[in-house]
Amino acid sequence: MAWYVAYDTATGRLESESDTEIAARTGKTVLQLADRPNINANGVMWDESTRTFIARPLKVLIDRLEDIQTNPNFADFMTAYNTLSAANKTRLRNMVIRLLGSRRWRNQNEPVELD
Amino acid sequence: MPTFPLLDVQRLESVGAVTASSHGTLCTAHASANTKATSYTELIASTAFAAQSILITFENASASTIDFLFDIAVGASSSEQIIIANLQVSIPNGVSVAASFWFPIHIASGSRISARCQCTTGAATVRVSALLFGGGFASPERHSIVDTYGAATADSGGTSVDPGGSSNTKGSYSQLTAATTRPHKGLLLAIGNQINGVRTGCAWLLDIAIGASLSEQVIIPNLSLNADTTKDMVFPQAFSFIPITIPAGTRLAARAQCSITDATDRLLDVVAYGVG
Repeated sequence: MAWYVAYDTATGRLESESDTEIAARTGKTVLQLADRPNINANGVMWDESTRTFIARPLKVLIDRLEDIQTNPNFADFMTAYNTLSAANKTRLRNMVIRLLGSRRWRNQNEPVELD
Repeated sequence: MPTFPLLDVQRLESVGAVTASSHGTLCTAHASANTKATSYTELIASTAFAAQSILITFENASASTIDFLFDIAVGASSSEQIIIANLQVSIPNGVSVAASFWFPIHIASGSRISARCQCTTGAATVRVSALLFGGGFASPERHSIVDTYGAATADSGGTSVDPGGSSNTKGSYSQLTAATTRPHKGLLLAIGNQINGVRTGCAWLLDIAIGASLSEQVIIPNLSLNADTTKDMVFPQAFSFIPITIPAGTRLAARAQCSITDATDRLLDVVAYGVG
C-alpha cells in the first residue's frame, strides 16, 4: 500500500505521514513510498540530511558481567575472583548472572551500579 | 445545597479475581508469537447487573519484557463477540501491575465476559481481572462501542511514534487511522514499550491530533510520560477515558517530544480506543 511522507524542504525535518496523498504545500516536500516505513526499534528512521529513511542503529548494550571484570572500581573483587579455580569461577559467574537477572544489561550511558 | 454528582455508581462486581491466589485470571497467549489465542479464557460466567463501565487490570505473570494485545469479549463459549479489540499491554520484567483501563461502555446483565490475547512471545501469560460498575440515578450517558486505532498485530504493539533526533522538540506525526469509524465521545490511549527491556531514563510529551497530513490540529496536548532504568518501561501505560468529541471520518495522529535522542529509547507505541 502506497504511503506518503512530508518533510520541511529547508531543514529536512520529517513532519507527517499518511496513507492518502498529501496535498502539496509551499516549503514542504512530499515523498511517495511503496509501503509504510517501519519506524520501530528494529526498523528505519528518518535522516534529515539525506532526506531518506535509513536503518535505525542497533541498540548497544553493556554486559555488567564485563563491567565487573573491567571496571577499576571492582579491582578487589577481581583479585579475589582470580584466586578461584576454573570450576568455582564458573559457579560464581552463574550465580552472579542469576542474581542480576534482567539488570545484567545496561545502556552505555547507564551507571554500572544498580540503582 | 444539593450536589449533582457526575458519576453515580451504585454497584460494583468483581470479575476474574482468583481469591485463592490473590491474583487475576491467568490468560495464555497462542503458542505462536503475535497470533491470537484460538480460545477465550472466561473471566465471569454471568454478570449480576447491567454495567455502565468496566475497569480492566493486567498483571505480570511472565518473567520477561513482552507486549500483548488483548481482546475482551462477551457471549457464550465459541460465540464470543469482541467488545474491546487489541487492548495493548506491555509487561515490564519485574513489575507486577502493568496497566488498568477504564472503559465507560455498557455491558448487559447476565453477560459472560472472556478474554484472549497474543504476545511477542508464544505461550506467554498475563493475569486479568476487572471491576464492573453499575449506574445509579445520575449515571453519565452510556456508550456501547469501542473502536481501536493504531494496534499492530504483527508485533503485538501499537503505532510507533518517533520524537526524532532533536531533544525536547515535537517530532513527526504518526498516523493512527486515516478515518475514525464512527463519532466518538472520548479516547483512551495505551502506550507500548516496544519490548525494550533496557531503557534510558527520559521523559516524553505526547500529542494526539486530528486533521489531514500537514494540517494536523492537536486536540490532546502534552500527555506526560517517562521511563527509568529500574522498571525499563514507559509509564503510564494507559490514559483512561479522555472526554473529547471526535466526528466520524476523522484522521487521528500522534507525535511526541522526548528529553533524549537515543535512536531506540526515544521510541514508544501508541494505540487509541475511541468510545462511542
